[in-house]
Amino acid sequence: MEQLLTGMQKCVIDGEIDQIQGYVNQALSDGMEPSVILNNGLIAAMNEVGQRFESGDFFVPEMLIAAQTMQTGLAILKPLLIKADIKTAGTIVLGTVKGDLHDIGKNLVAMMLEGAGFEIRDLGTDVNSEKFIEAVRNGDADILGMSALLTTTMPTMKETIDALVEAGLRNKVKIMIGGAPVTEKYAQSIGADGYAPDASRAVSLAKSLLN
Amino acid sequence: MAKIDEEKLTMINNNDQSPQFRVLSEDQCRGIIEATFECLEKVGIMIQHEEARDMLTAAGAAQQNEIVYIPRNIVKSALNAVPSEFSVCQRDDRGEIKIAINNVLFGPGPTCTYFIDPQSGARRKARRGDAALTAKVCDALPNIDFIMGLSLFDDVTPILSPVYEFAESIANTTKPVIAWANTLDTLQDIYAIAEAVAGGRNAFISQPNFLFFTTYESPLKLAHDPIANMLWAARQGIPIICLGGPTVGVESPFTGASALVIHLASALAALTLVQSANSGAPMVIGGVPSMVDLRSGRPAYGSPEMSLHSAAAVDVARYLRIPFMGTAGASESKLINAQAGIEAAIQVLLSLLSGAALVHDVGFLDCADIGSLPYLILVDEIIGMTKRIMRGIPVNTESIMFDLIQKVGPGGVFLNQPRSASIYRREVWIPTVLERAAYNLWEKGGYRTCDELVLEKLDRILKTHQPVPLSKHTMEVIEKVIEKAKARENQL
Repeated sequence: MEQLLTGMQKCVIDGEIDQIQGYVNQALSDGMEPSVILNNGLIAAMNEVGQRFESGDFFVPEMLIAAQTMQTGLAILKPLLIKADIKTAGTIVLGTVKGDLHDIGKNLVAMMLEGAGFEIRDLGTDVNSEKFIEAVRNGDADILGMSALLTTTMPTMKETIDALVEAGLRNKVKIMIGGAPVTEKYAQSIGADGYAPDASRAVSLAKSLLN
Repeated sequence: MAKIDEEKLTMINNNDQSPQFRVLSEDQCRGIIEATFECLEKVGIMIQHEEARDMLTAAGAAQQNEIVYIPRNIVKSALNAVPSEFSVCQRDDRGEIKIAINNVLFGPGPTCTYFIDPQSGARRKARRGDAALTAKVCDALPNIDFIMGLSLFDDVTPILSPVYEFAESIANTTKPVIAWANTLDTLQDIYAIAEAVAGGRNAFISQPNFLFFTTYESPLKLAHDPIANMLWAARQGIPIICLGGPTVGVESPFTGASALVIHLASALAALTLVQSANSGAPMVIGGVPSMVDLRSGRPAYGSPEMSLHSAAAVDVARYLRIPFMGTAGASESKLINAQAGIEAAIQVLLSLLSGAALVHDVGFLDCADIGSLPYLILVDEIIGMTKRIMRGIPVNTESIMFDLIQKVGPGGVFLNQPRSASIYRREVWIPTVLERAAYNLWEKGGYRTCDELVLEKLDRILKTHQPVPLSKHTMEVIEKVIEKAKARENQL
């Protein structure tokens, strides 16, 4: 069993996307619990990937391919996890704010969060506060993430938070923001719960917000 | 010594050349162009503007939702229509400036979130007045040919930021300004200012004093506002620049060739639209195909690949006879230091060698987030040095100066020979901020480094340089345009 998990972890770390489902199916037919496969196999591997990134051994492409491999394995587990009522790490609604068409950073954050086991609802670019609020109202989002590259579009972040307060939805979600011009100070000033300067730190922020 | 044959000298004279450089062979250019046509035909391009989609389908393109598949014959007729060169003017009638491949012009870039405060030297949010400072400094610098604002104003109604920026810029320089816009309203505000400065519509058309800068997105996407603005600008006769990425590795695969195809397909789709709106409209295509930074996911302006890919894109643009906008003087460094110097030197050298028509982003630090006038001054110096190299070495009777060599003879001194001395300013590049004093004098002078000389030069320009002012009447018209724009935006 231990050997199978080690192999599965190595498969994720090396980004062997074609082989991951073989490992997961093998583990399931050996009688391993889906939650064990998820936590001790897939998520453990992504933690190792995160550490390698922090230490400078891994770069963004390796992280993204590993995250995709993890997702491919997770696809098999998902129905089983739902049946067993085991929750994912959390659901995050993401979008680049109104007037802003820059989505490289937001996409990177989405892929990294998925790799860490979060469920992502990506609203895309040019998202106004109404759309964000609708997503919070109608979904089971744990976190709302907003991104902006331009100082001129940043005010939408504040508008959205104010509107959430007005709609009585503010306590329903944690809010994280990011993007080149965004700062910790700005996050505090508009009443967001957190700010991350890059995609890898967005993952640790999301985890800490839900703990 | 054998006498040099006059006939031979004439022959050498006819072969004078400046340093030559190419990244792509003609065959490779054709390979990129062929793949680009195929990309536009089979992959298509996302066009988020209904009228634009209709224009293309009316010309024979196929459409599925927002994706338009453009056959090569439409693109080829647009390429036949676009001029290979055009002119813009200096607003005080000091002459025309030719925009064409091999006539390399430099200037700053747009929309930096932060600006280095010239007084305190600290990084702060960009605000009103920063574009005026940028324009004034550019006006004084010999190697800066056009103006962009180096700032995204944080203290105005956000949508009007480019209008305020343009008003400040054109009032503080006679050099042509490159303006960007948000909605079509804001482009129309900018045009109203430009027309007032030129002295009416006819004057503007015959001598445009600004170019309109807009962007495509990668991969393969043109958004609504940029298209609406381009179509309007084309019909007004405003020269257009359409520039984009891709950030290589993120918005294209990791290879330079794929990045060139994605750049060119988007740029040619924009060019096809512009030519359909107004056949023969002046246009520049551009790209910043920088490599992604492998840790941050940000585009790395300082990457060697950015300059390599840009130079290759110039080769393709030259093959197609379209002016190209590239990038130089843009560092990843947060301060002026060794890194900032290295990155700019390589970018400027490759830009000049490649022959890009317009080269923007001079003065960028921290991945385009910081606009820095001190860095602009340092890069101006690098451009001066590099332009000297680009003049090459003319070889002819006059330049060989055989008579003078013979006259002075072995063991003699040339420094005091009038014929040689009279032309030294043409031959010798003279630094303004690079430090060359003998050690003793350097010590006596207070150990001043290049960085300090840069700040002194900036201070001197800000204190003494007086750009040719606009008339009182024109300033009043500009004020009215801004008031009207403010009223409109407040109503919305």
